[in-house]
Amino acid sequence: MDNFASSNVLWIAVIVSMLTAALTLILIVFICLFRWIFNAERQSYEIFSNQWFPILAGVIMGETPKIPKELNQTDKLILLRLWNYWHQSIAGDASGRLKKFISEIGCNAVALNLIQKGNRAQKLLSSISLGNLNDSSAWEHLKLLVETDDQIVSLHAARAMLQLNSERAINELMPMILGRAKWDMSVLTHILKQSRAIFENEIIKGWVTFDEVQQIRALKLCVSLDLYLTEEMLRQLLQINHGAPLLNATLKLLERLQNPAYRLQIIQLFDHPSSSVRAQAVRAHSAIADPRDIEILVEMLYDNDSLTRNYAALTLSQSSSLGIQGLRSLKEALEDPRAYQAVAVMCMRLELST
Amino acid sequence: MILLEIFTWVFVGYNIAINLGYITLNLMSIVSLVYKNQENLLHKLPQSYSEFEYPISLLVPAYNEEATIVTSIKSMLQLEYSSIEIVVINDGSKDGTLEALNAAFELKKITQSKSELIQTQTVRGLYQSSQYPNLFVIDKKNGGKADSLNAGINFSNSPLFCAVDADSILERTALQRLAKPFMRDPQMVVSGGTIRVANGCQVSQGNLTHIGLSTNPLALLQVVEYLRAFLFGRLGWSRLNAILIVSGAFGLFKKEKIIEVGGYKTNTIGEDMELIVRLHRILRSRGEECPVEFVADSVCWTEVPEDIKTLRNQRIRWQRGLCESLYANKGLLFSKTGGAAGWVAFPFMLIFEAFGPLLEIVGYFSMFMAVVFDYISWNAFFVISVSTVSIGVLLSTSALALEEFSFHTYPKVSQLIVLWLVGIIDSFGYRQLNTYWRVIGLYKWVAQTEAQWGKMTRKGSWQAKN
Repeated sequence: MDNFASSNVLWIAVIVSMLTAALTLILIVFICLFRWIFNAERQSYEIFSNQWFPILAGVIMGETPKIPKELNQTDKLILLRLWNYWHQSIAGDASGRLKKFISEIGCNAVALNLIQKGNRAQKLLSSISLGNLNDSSAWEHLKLLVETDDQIVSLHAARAMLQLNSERAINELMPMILGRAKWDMSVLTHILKQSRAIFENEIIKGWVTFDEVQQIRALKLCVSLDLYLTEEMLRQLLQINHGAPLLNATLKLLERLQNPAYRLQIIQLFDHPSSSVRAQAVRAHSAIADPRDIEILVEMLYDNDSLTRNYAALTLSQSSSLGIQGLRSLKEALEDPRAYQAVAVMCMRLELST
Repeated sequence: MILLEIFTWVFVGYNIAINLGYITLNLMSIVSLVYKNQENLLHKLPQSYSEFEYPISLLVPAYNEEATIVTSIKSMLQLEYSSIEIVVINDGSKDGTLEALNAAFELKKITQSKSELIQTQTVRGLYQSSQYPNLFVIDKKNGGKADSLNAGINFSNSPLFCAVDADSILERTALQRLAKPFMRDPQMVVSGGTIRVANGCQVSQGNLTHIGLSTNPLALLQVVEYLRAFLFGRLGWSRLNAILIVSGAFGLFKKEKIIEVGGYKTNTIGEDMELIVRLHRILRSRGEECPVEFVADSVCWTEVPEDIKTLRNQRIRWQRGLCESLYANKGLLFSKTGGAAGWVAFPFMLIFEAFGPLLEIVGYFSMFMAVVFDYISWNAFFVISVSTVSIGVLLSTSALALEEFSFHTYPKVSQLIVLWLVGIIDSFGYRQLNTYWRVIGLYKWVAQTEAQWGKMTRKGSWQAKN
């Protein structure tokens, strides 16, 4: 009894109970508060949007708007949220008219203020708004945001900079576009789509200054943006002594390019020590295969990597000089069960399709 | 008496450690949710990235799911996603699952050669819907859920697959949200969504039309339990990239990586957890990254057991699955490349989730004996019990606060009050009962008794009859 119950443990238990009870009460207050704020915000947004939807619709139609009252900062923030949605949903003259209207009532001033002093959500809203408004006075503020560690806010600030001046933005942001691995590739591709030509030009110009990681990311962006590098660069990238990630990224680009000029260099990579490179090389070679390549493709059927074997079998099944009869004969001649299985699947596919 | 003292101290120490662990996870979840809320604006803007969405195969294993399968598939057909195929795998059902699918979706037999990437039970037939060309049904011999998923993986044509339980209803934006981590990070291997309790809700034409609470006390207790598990359990682990469980009811996987590690293991009862722990072990040992992310706002609604027997079987199965998964992948524990998964999550799971129930039972017993033998007074026993219960109530309240802060799922204030009261009741009997079942699960794993899935009674009462 003396050892345990009368010890300090009991006091600690009492204190813990009181503390947790107090914290529970605080949390209950927070739950009530969250519910109240949620309801209040939803209500005010509904009232505001009911009032402003007809006005914005009128602006789109070219009418002169009647602003119901003097707008305070909160109203302008709600309006910015509404406007961003409309702006990204419509195009043409209507979009221009809306943009002019929003600037006239001073929403860009609010966004400019919040991009410096607002919280994270407000900075995000301001970046998106200032980009959509093409407000070039925001350039330096956006640049500061791009340099922050916050992946989401910085990426949207970069987007805004691209909207303001794509050439200058690509020039200044290139190290980050290629260096920030956490920037969402799909969003990045989407925002670079409007400036593809400038981006391609800058990539080619700056290629030699990029390190390997940056080159890999540049190649990936080239694939997603449907861009190509010069022949000289691609030939240099196809050297067998390069690492697997760089070669894989290059081969993915060449798979899209389908240019027979690279055939022999791609075939050289069939001997690469990395199985992923061999598989990717056989895959990239598939669309540009030549009847002379049958022998080496048969050799690839014996590769240790199943993906490589399957791609080799796929390429062979597409070869017009081999045909279904040739493929069947090849299958029967194969002694390795794994090679046999790879060709057998392709035979079955061909038989079904005919 | 010395033994009693040791047990009592171990129990107290265990309680302190587990609660500190939960509170830390809770704090990490708060940070995650604050960030998520600040980014809500982005979800409200037009989503124009659909061209970059990876095609997804929804794999739906179905065994005797006649009551709910059609509604679930209808719900899946309405998902907002640009490229999706639905593959239902009828795992040798003995009821009218296949017939119900045929009647609702006009299936026609197809022939398609597929290489068997993962070995499975014999496939008896492949069907495609005449109404929905992206809906396929695989009819195969019974081989269990893992085997069905493997058959689905063999058949699927997409780089990502989503494993969904046949009795589940996905929210319309659920898949779009679940796929976001894959768009953001090409290295992503798995993303898991939130599971919520559908008992008490209403579904019509595959849509969730009313969010309510069940009147069944067991279902209510599980609502709070699920909130706790998902909102601060997985969200917290996600921040550390140390998630070891993605619910088998709703998870999105990179197919290539799953095939690389051999697909789902068919000889385990907790195939969902085993796969995630194995992915961590194998990929990390190769020096590769293994990002697994939890997406709190991607929601799947599912029916939970409403009777003691089914719930007991489920919990015993979960516990056994947990032990099997950890034991099969013990190489991850404190491995050089294990990261937070091997150094934090694995030991936490091992001590507090796998062996914790045993410690708890011994603790309850030794505390009781300590009172009986006058080692501690009834007052002391009462104070210590109150402090343990109060922490439990605090954690349940915190889960409710996180829910209200981010999602506002339950529209009525009365529902929140009910859930809070349930969170208090949880500590008086339900938690102890759960602990007891988990000890049985632990025993069954140690004794290696034959594993059984048991029968899950699906009422489907939350689904409108249309």
